[in-house]
Amino acid sequence: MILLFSAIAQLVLPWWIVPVIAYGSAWVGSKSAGKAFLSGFLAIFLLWTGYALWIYINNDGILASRVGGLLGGLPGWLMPLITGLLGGLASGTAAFAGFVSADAFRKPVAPDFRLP
Amino acid sequence: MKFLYAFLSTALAGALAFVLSISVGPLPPLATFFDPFAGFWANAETSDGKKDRTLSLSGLTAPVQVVMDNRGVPHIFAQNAYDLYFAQGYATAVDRLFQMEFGARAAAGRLSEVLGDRTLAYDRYQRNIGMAWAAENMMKAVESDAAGKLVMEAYADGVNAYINQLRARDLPVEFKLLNYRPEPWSAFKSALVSKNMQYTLTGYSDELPMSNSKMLFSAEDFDTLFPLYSPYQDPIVPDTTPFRFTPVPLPTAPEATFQPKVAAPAPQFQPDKANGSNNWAVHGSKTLSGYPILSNDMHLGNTLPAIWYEVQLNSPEVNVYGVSIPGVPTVIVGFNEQIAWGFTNVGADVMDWYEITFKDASRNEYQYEGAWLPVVNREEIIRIKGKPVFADTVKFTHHGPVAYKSGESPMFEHIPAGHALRWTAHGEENVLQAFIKLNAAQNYEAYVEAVSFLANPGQNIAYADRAGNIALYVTGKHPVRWKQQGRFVSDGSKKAYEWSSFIPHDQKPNLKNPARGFVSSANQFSADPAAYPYYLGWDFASYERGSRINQRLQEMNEITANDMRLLQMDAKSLHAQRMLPALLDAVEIDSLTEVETEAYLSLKGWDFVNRGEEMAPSVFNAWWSVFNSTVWSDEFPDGTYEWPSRPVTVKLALESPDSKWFDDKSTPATEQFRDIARIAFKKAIQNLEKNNGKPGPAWRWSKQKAYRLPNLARLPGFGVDFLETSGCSECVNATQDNHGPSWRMVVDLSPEGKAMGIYPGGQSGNPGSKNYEADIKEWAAGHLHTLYLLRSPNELPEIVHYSLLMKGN
Repeated sequence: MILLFSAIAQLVLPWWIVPVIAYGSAWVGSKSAGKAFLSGFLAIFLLWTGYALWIYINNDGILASRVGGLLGGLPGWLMPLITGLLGGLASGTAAFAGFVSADAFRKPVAPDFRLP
Repeated sequence: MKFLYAFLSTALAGALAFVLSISVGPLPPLATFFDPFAGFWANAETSDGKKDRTLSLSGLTAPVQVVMDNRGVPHIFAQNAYDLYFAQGYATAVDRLFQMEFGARAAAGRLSEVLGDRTLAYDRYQRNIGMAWAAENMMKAVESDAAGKLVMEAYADGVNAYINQLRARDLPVEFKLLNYRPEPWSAFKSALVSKNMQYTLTGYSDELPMSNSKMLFSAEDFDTLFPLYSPYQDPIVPDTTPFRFTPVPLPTAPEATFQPKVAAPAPQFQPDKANGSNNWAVHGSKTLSGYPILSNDMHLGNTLPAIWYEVQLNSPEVNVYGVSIPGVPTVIVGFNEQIAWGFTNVGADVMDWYEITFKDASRNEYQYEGAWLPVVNREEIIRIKGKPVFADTVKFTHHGPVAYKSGESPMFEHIPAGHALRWTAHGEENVLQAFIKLNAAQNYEAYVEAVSFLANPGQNIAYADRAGNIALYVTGKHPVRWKQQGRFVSDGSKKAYEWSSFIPHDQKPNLKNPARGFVSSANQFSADPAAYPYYLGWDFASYERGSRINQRLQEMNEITANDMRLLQMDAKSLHAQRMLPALLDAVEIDSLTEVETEAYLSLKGWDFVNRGEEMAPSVFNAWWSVFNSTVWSDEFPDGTYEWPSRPVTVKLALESPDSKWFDDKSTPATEQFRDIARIAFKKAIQNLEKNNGKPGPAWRWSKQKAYRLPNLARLPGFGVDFLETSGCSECVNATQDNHGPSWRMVVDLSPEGKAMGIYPGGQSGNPGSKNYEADIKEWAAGHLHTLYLLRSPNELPEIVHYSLLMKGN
């Protein structure tokens, strides 16, 4: 869901729409904080790495290897991975926050406190 | 508790997103930059872009057709001048916007706004020498020149039409990297960019090192080491008989020689002294076709994106093809249906430094002819990315701005002395007029009139036309000087050191259809000082390239365009030819080690041609360089001193091998030329072996000179670190470091003759395009592309990549 919404939103909006979507999605749909982070991270990691990889291949890696050179001589093929990690991290963190925040507003279902 | 977690985690996610969206230190905003939808990936070209399209651009008065050819050259067909230059601005911006914007910023001393304080010294220097002030002066001239104003404003409107439609993701990648948006373009910015080229070509000054060197020697010795006419010269105008015109009255030299206090260190950012070029035109009497051929290669410090941008401009008034400077309208060097022209730099002295004596520490008044004159203060505010603004005051005297080094402490406590700069590029002239007229010129008379407007940079302009004429005109605004005026730092308090008049255009050295059947220039002396009445300067290029070209043109006949292409690639060094036999003769073969013997033998059979794959040029150049520094380092202390030129040293070695100059003062023995040559050989081979091991592939000449094409903004990874090349700095194919032919062109003016050209790099300035570093190997190998001057958009469908139709709205 995060992947799909982000892909569509990013056609027109700047990249920061990604954490916003991740936050919202996790608020509504996540089961746990860990799962929220993981799905937020994976969705954007896949989207960004995948799209970057497609560009990388169709551009013969020309620009990626230049940017790698700019970053102290890193190989060009690392660029799609770095891309995915950056996007994934921002998205995963936002999804985590989304779940925790939603959790705070959820009615506590706390069996420990029920009177016998 | 849960709300605290919620708050903390949300804050963390927000902070992370924020940090990834801003620029920290030299880094770009990371996520913004890496975002595959709108970051740098969006600049990576994934298709060949072959698609005809229609663009709706407000401002155009009539439709413009642009044919993009297979090499990405726009052929622009417009119905009037405004639309023509509008489209030139638009098309250039599509390919080179960052280069244009960066060039204008660099000229104005505004790099620190986007690069931070690492460029503060550079920005201060640009403001101190009055670059923006010079551009303002140029704009004053533009205001009173309706045609020039129209061209510049149309160009700016075209650039802005492109800038205005750019979304963040469409910005050139360098803007994303440096995290800023381009400002609107303007005619003033075009003026700034043209000042850059003027500085590159005429901003060299050796008055301070010359003043220092002069203090070291007796007058006689000084004349030996620094002759006013460089040895072995083969001047542009070869006549030794006096010129026939009546010169304007020459000023008289002051009686006493001024001893400069030399208070300020040398200006920091000297343009490369090796900025040189070649051009020539051969008459029909020497060509196979019976029609003239023109050749030009302009040598500059090459970068990626390339210095030049190819374009064809076609309107009812003009049909011209050639190279333009991104940021400046018109074609600078090229050809039209009737004529072709090419440039080399004149190299005359048009920049003088005046020592200023201030009245007191406020530096608001300065001494002039027994009185105190007020300075005009110009406030300079330099904005620095991530730092507080830097405020500076530049003092203007009637000579020009006082340039002083940043952080400089005055030499004398009460009379701080800086140096004022007088430079022809400061003048109120619109040099663009020269190009507007030259682009449209159809004959010799129109060419001579057009080039009279080129005040700075003065160029030796070779010319050929379809009517069969060849010509060469030494152009530029040149002060009428007393002999040696401006050779040393001048006295700013005396009128006698000022410029009072300029050489009339018709009295500048020039040639038309000379008997020898060719004209040529390679930045050498414009004319023999014994024959030409005006003193133009003394530090012209040494003889090697010019003599080699003249030698070859003299002996060639039935010349074809391909012969001219080969001559552009000529890598024979006349310096090596003249010097090497004497050097080799000094070596004692019996005392050589194995490596030295191998190096020696490589030189024994060498034909003085600097081929990239050979080791002989590496050995010779290393040897000469060590020899030269061994000869002179004991005469000159460390610091800012001018050393004798290469031909002067050669002449002394060949004609006075036992003179005192060859004695190494640091040893008790008395050395002669042979001793120094021998010592230098051993030392040079030692250096080569230390850095490259035993003779092998690393000793190849191409490896030793390590030709490269750095990125314009010196971004690592955005340039080319090594390119296999032949040639040498004093060769016709003058390649060294990143310096070399920036545009090679051969135009055959016979009815079916074609034009050819190449520059190192591609039309696209986008580092994400395959076209960014296109053609650099072809350039290195001496290949030339055919250049097409189309008469209509549909003339040659086979060269068309795609078409653009630009329409007003």
